[in-house]
Amino acid sequence: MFAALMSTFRSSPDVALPAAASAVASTSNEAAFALRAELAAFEAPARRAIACILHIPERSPDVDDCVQETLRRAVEHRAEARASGATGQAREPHALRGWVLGIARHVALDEIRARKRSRARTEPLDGEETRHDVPAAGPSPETQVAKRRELLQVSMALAGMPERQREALLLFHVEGVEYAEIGRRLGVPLGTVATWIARGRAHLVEKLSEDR
Amino acid sequence: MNAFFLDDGHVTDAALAAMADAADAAVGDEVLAHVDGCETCLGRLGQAAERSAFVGATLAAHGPALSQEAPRLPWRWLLGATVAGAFGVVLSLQDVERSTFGLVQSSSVLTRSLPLALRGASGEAGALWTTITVACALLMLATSAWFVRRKTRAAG
Repeated sequence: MFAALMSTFRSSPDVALPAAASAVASTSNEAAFALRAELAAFEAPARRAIACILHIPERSPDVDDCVQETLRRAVEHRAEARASGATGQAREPHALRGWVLGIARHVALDEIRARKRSRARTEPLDGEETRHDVPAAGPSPETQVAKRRELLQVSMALAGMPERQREALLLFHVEGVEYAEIGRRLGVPLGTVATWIARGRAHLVEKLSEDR
Repeated sequence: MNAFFLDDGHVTDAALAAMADAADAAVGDEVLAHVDGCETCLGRLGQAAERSAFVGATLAAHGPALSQEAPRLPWRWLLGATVAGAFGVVLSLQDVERSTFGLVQSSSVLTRSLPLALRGASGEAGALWTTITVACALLMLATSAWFVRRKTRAAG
C-alpha cells in the first residue's frame, strides 16, 4: 500500500496529502477524511521547518520531497496506530502539531546526512584527479599523502582536547555508540555528553579549518 | 530554567548537537518545542547537522587509527633511565673531590666532557683523549634519543 502511496506522492507533490489519505481510506473513508483534515493544517509549518533546516527556499524540489516523506511517515504511523487500536494515540491538535514537526525535523536531518554521504562517495580528495578511463590499481601517492596529512591534523586536533571530551567524540563518531550508552560508560548525564560532543566537534572543525 | 537555554531565549549548541544526532531524549520536550517553533534555532540545527556529518565523515575515514590510544611519552622507561642515571651519579660521587668543580665534573658524562674538553684545549689533556670522551658522550646521547623515539613509537 505504501509503495503505491509513495509513487502517488512523487508524481504530484501538491496532491500528496489527499493521495495519502485515500490510500489509507481503503479501510475506512471516514478515518481517511479525519486523517486528511488532521494533517492538512501541519503541511505549511512542516515545509517552513524543513526549509529552515536545509537553508533552502520553501518552494524547492528538495523541500517538496521532504514534505512528502514527512506526510508519508505521519500517515503511516497514524494508520498503524488506528489499525492496532492502540490506546493513547488520540492527540490534541497542539500535540499533533509538535509530533508532525518532529517528523519533519528528522526527515530534514536525514536529508542532510544523505547528502553528506553522497558527497563523500563522489568527491575526490584534495589533489586527487578523477580519471574514468584508466582503472586505478590503488590510491595514488597524492591521495595517500593527503590522507596521511589529514590524519595528522585530526590526531593533533584530538590531542588538543580534554581526554573525556575526546573519548565521548570518538565513541559517538567512530564506534557508533549512542548518547545514553556514552553517558553510562563515562558515568555522566546525557546533558554532559551532549556538551562534550558539541565542544569537541567545534574544536575539531576550528582546528581543521585553521590548517586548510 | 533548562540548562539547554541561553539567556536570549534560544537553545545552546549542545542541545542542537544532540538533536542533530537524533538524541532528542537528551534535551527534553521544552527544548524540542522551542526549536520546532523558532526559525533561528531551526537554521542553527541545520548547521549543527552539517557539522556533525562533516566530523563524522572525517573521523570515520581514519577510524581504526584514531580509536587507538593517543601517543604518550614512555614515562616508565624515562623514570627507569633517570633512576639509573642518578645511581651512576651516586657511584661517581665516591671519587669526587671536595669542591664545586669536582661535583660538576662528576654529575654526568656530558658535563664532565665539557671541562675535559676545555682542559684539552688548554693543553692539560691530550687531544685524542678529549676527542674520545666527547665522542662517547655524543654516542650516549644519540643512543638515548634513538631508544626513547623507538619506545614512543611502540607506545603510540
